[in-house]
Amino acid sequence: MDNEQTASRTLGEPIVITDGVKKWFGDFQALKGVTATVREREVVVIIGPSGSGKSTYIRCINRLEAHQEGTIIVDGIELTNDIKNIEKIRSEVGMVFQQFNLFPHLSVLDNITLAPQWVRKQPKAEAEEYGMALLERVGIPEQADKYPGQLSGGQQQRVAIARSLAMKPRIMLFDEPTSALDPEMIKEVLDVMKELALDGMTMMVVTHEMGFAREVADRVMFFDYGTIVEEGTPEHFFTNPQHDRTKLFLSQIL
Amino acid sequence: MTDAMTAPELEFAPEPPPKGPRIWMRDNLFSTPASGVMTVVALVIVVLAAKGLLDFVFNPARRWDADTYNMKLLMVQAYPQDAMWRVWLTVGVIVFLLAASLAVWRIGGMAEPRKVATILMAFGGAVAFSGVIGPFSTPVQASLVVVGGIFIVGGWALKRFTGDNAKEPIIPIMGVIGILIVVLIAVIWVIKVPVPAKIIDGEVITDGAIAGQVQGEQIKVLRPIATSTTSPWTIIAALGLLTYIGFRVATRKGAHHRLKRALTGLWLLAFPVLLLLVLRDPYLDWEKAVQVYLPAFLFFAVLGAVVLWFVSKPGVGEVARVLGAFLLIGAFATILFPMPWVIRFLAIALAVFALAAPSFGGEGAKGIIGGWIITDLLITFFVFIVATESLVDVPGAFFLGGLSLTIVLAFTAIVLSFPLGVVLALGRTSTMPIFRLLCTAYIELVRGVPLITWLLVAFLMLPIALPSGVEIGGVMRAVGAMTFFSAAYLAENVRGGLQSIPGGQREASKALGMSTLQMTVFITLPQALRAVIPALVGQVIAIFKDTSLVTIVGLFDFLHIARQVIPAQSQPFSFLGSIKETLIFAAVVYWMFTFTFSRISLRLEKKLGVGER
Repeated sequence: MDNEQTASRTLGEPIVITDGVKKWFGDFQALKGVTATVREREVVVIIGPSGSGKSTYIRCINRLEAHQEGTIIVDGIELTNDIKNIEKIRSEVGMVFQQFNLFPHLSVLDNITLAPQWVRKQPKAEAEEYGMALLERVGIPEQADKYPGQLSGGQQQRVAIARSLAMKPRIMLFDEPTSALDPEMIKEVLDVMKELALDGMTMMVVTHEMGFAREVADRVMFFDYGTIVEEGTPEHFFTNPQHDRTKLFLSQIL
Repeated sequence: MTDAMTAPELEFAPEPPPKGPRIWMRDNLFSTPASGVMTVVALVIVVLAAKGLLDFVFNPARRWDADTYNMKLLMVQAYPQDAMWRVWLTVGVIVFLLAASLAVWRIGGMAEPRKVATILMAFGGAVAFSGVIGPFSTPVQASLVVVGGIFIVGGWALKRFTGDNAKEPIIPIMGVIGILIVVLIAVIWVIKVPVPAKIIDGEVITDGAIAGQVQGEQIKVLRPIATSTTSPWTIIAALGLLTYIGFRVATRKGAHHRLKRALTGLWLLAFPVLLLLVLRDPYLDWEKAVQVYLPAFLFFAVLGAVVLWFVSKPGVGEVARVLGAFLLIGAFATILFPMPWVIRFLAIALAVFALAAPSFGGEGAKGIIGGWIITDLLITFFVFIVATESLVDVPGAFFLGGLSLTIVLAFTAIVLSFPLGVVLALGRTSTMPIFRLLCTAYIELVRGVPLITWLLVAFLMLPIALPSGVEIGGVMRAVGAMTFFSAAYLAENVRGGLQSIPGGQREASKALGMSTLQMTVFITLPQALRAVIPALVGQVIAIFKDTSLVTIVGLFDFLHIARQVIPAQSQPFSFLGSIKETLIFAAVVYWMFTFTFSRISLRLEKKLGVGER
């Protein structure tokens, strides 16, 4: 990011610490010891070929997948099989999926206010007020009473982002948020994510959008075969990659 | 240069030239020689079938008087005549609720005059056609053709009259239905139906009490329908129409959520209240009420309020679940010790509320405590009026028989088996091994044995298996058997629905921090149920017809009366051998109900947007 924007966002203390995380799916080892630290207000973009373990890695952070070895600590809470810890971590971590995963039988506003009402026990009026504010923030307040099926892909993803934001998370995980979108709609979603970053949200984004990585990321991590091959600032990464595998991957993408 | 930003002007496809009926027939029925032959063959079959049906129905040897004379028997069996006002009151209340609901929920919509005209003309054509080929006397034939002609002309006039608007939906469907109801009521006042009669000393006697044991030649005569039937129906029809109009006018401006909620509450209450209080006429033991039921209600009200307030507090955590588990164990333990049933039911209900409260208690727990007080009141009230005898003097196991018994059995079994089926489905797909094993074993066992066998097991073996002092009446056993049976099938339907939900829905719910219970109730279950509505309605239809099996355990259901009771009657009028007529009548009535169910299912699917969202 350019200096003007970085100046307003000073990075805080480490908020996501993963140390030697290993994960197997049966006999197949998806993560072979991933060690990384994400600081508060940092935007980390994770890139890599398919099957490299990037999605598995961020899904381990909010326990959608369970890691078998290593430690994951989110905001001081260690991620173990203890359901209490898992619930506490999930309430601080929001996630946006490639397939949006909106609830099709509920209206857009209901999608956004369901969790705050029943998980945080917020009164309905308060939840709806905040929900409408979020819809305005992502640019689609007029769609509040529509159903997800009536929205375009870009609008649905923006609703998904608003839905995660409604729980006031401290960290947002993005699992290839624009991979299922038509090219014209990718920009509107990336713009919302950029706004979020500028407002100081800690973000871990798995994506193939190199433009977004160059513009918004504080750090880029390159995953391959279950480990982090290389990581660094966007300038370093895109202009002067060190490893051969990184160079090979970038030559295929750019 | 044209501005590339403006979209090209919209053009509409040219309207195809209107096709007259002759061209339509040529294109659809006679397009190829083969289809022409098929059309002719189909027409011949239709004409022969219609003629056969009409010949059968209007054959003078038919004993339709077996149905008309025994209508009360078929509907409510041996319900005492002086208590029949209770039955009419029940029907009236249901009609009132139905009319109010149709008005408030704006059910109906509009129809295009073109379609209505087509229906009128088709109906008229069918009437005239029947008049021509049916076994009627010439005056009747002529009048049928005339009536048919009137409808055809009426339909054509409607189309001409509305002219260009024929394609616009402007005819209110409920208005048409209202007119039909008025016409129907007028018709039953003047129409004559076949009734049995005996010629005694040269006089035609239709009164069963007088005809009695006296010898005489039995004949059929045509008489108007008795005022004991036409009057109540007229009053009820008038009530229904006025209620509908009244509620439509009252809800002119916008949706009324309070009214809808009130009506929903009334519907839920209507069935148990009408059945257990109005029709059953229980002996109200007020002494016992004050001694047992009132204290029970108050005790549990206070206890429940305290427990639920504590358990709904935001930071309470594990303690709430432990307390809920203890309450559940305590509730089941009450079955082991002798105590009034009301306490057992209240204990179980409180345990369920306590377990659900952490997931659903809102802020301040006001809602859930209010819900508990109401549930407490309802349980106490209903156990009070059930745990006592009925004052309706009816021979036999149950105070109802015939179609009313069929409806009660089916409705109760369906309403009770739905929650049980859902719980079983959730249990079978759960991650807890014991729960999963129990539910799977239940489903596989119950599904593997025919319903008749379960009815016999319930009827013959249950009294042996229950602890002493616990008694369950015959009808309750039948309802229990049907409920458990239906629940197993429903469980599998719901499980199919649950499996059809994409995994992303669960992931998104988990990522938002919802508990498994919240995810099930708000996300997966609604979508699962919506997806399997056809299967669920199929199960409802199956259970409705399966009620006919309870004749095995000695209950007088609708089919039993039609099949065995009426064709065996010989006093005061002989209906021996009238089984054809009674069975056809029973079949038509069953079909009317099940057809209504499937139409409701289609409407429900449309309203929930199945397949669209």
